Amino acid sequence: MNRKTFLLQSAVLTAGISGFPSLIAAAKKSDIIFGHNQKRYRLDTQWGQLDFNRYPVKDCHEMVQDSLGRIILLTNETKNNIIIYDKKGKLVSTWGSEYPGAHGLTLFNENGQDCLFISDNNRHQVIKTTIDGRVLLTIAYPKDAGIYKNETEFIPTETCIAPNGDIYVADGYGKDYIIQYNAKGEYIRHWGGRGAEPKHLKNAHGICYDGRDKNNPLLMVTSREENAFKRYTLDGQYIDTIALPGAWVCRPVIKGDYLYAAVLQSQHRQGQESGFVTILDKNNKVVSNLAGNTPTYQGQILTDMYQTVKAFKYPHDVCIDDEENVYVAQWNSGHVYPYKLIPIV
Amino acid sequence: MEFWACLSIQINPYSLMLKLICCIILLLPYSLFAQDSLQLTPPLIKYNSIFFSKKTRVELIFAYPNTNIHYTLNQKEPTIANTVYKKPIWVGDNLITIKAKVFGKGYIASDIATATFIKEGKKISMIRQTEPHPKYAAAGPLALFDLKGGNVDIGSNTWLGYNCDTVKVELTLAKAQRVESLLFNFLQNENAWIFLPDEISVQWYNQQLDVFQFFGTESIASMAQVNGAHSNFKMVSAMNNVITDKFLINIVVKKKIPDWHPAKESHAWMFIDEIKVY
Repeated sequence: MNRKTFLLQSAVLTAGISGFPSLIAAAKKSDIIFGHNQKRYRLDTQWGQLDFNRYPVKDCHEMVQDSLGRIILLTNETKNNIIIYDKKGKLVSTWGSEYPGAHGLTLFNENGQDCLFISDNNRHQVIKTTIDGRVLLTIAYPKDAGIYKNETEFIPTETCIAPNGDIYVADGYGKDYIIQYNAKGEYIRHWGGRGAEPKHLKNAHGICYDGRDKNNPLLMVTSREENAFKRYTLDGQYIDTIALPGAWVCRPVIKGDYLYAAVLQSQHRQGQESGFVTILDKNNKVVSNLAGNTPTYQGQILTDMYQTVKAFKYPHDVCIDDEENVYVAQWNSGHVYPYKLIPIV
Repeated sequence: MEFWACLSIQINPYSLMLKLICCIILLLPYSLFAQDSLQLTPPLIKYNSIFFSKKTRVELIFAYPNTNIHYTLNQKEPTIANTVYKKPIWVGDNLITIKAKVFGKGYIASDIATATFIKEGKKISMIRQTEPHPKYAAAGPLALFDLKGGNVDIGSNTWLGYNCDTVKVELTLAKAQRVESLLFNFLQNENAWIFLPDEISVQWYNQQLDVFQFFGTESIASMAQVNGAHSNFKMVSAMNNVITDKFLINIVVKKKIPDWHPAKESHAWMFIDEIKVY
C-alpha cells in the first residue's frame, strides 16, 4: 500500500464524548430537521437495510432512479454489485459480480429503454449494460487521444450522457481528463487534465449534463480537491468555476431547478468522517447544507462550508427520486446501506 | 449524576441493590436515546498563524441554528457554564490555549477543539536546515522562523516535510544572550504517516571555548495511536546556564511506523514549521 492510496482509503475514528447533561436533552435522529431554507429534511437511517449475510455492501458508491421508479444502488461488493430497491427500501433484485471497482453509475433512457453506465476503477473501463445487467458496450482507455501510456493510467470515476447519446467520461482517479465519445464508444475529444489554469481539473470525480437552461445546456464537472464545480460547453470549452470552499464535492446531481451533491468530507477535518450534503439553486448558489453549516455569502463569495452534525461519515452520492426524497450512498462508512432524507413540506 | 448519588447512600445491601436497579431502569432510556442521537462537530478555530509577535486575533466559528460555542483559556474542558463565544479573542501571552466546544439543544455536545498560541521569543537571525522533501518545502528557507504556521492542513505551505533519518538544523540568534529553552512545532497526522520525531537534541556554541556543548534533549515516546491532525509543540530546556548565539540541533525522524498502523515498518514522515528560542 502506498501513502497516497492509504490517505484515500483510511478513516479516522473520532472519540465521541457525550456529556451527561447534554445527553438528557438530546433528540432522536428522526426528530432532527436537516437543511436550510426551502430544502429541509428528516433523516431515515433504516431505509434499505438488508440481511448483510445475503446482500452485503462495501462502499455504497452511487445511486440512480430508473423509469419504473426503482432505486438502484452500485457497490464494489462483487456478491451483488447492483442492488435494486423499491422506493420503500424493499429489495427487488440484485445482479453483478464482475465489477470489483464499481464506482460510477449513470442511467440513460435510450429510445424508451433504461440502460446503465458503470465506471469501474479496477477494470479501467466504462461498461454499458441493460437495466438487468446484460453488457451492451465496453469502453476502454482512448488510445487515439495520445494522453495515456497504457490502460492502467485511465481510472474512470463517472459518466454522463448527452441527449444525442454522446458519452462523457470523467477520469477522476486517473489523469483528470474529461473524454467525449459518441454513442458507439468512439473517441471524439478530450479536455481538462491537471494543471494550474482554471480550465484544468484536480480530482475530476464527477460530471453531469446540466440542461436547466434549455437554450444553453452545458457540462458540470467536479474538481473535488479544489472544492469546486467547473462548467464547460458540450465540446469542452471552459466557462467558469463554482467555488464551494471547504467542501469535497462528489458528482453534481440535477433534479428540477436544483443541484445536489454529496460532500465526502470537510476540508478542515479531512479523514475524520466529516461529510454532509449540499444543495445549490438554479443560480448555483448554495441554499442548504444537510448536516452542514448555514450557507453564508459575503457579497458573491461563499464562506467556508463544513459538517456541523455527525449524521453522515463519507457521503459519496445522492439520488433524488420523483417525490423529492434524497438518498445518500456512503463510502468507507462501516458498510452502511443508503440513508433516506424525506422533505418537509 | 443520579447514579453516583445512589452509590453514596450507605444503608443496607438490599436497599442499595434496589436503588441501583432503580437507577439502571431510570438511565436505560437515556442510554438507548444516546445511540439514536446525534453529536455536533467541534467549532472551527480560525487564525492566520499560531505564532505571533505581540498579539493575534482568533475567531471561533460554528454557523448552525440553536447552538453556542463555549470556551476556556485555562486548559479546562469547556462546559455550558463557561463563556459563550460572541466576538474574536485577542491572544497576547505565550502558550495560551483556547479550548472550545459546541452545545445545542437536541444534540450531544461536540468534542473539544483546541489551539495553543506561541509568542515570538528571542530574535533569530538565521536558520539553516537539511533540505526538505521537494514536495513539502513550504515557502522557502525562512520557513522555520517566519511566524507562519500551526495550520494542520498538509498543503498549507508552512510545513517542511522530511522522510529521511535525521534532520540537522543550525540556528543563529541576532545576539549572544542567555537561553533557557527552545520550542519546536510539529505536525502530527498519523493517518497521513506523519509522526512526531523520536528525539530532539540540542548543542550550544560556547564562544569562550570555541566548542559546541550539550544543551538538552527531548525524547518522544511513541504512545498509542493519535487520531486526527494536530499541531504539537515540544520544548527542550537547558541543563545549565547558557549564554550563546548559536545552536546545532539534531532531530531524529521515526524510522519505522508502529505495528498498529496499516503502514507498519514504513519510514515515517516528520513535518516541522517553526522553532522558537526563549
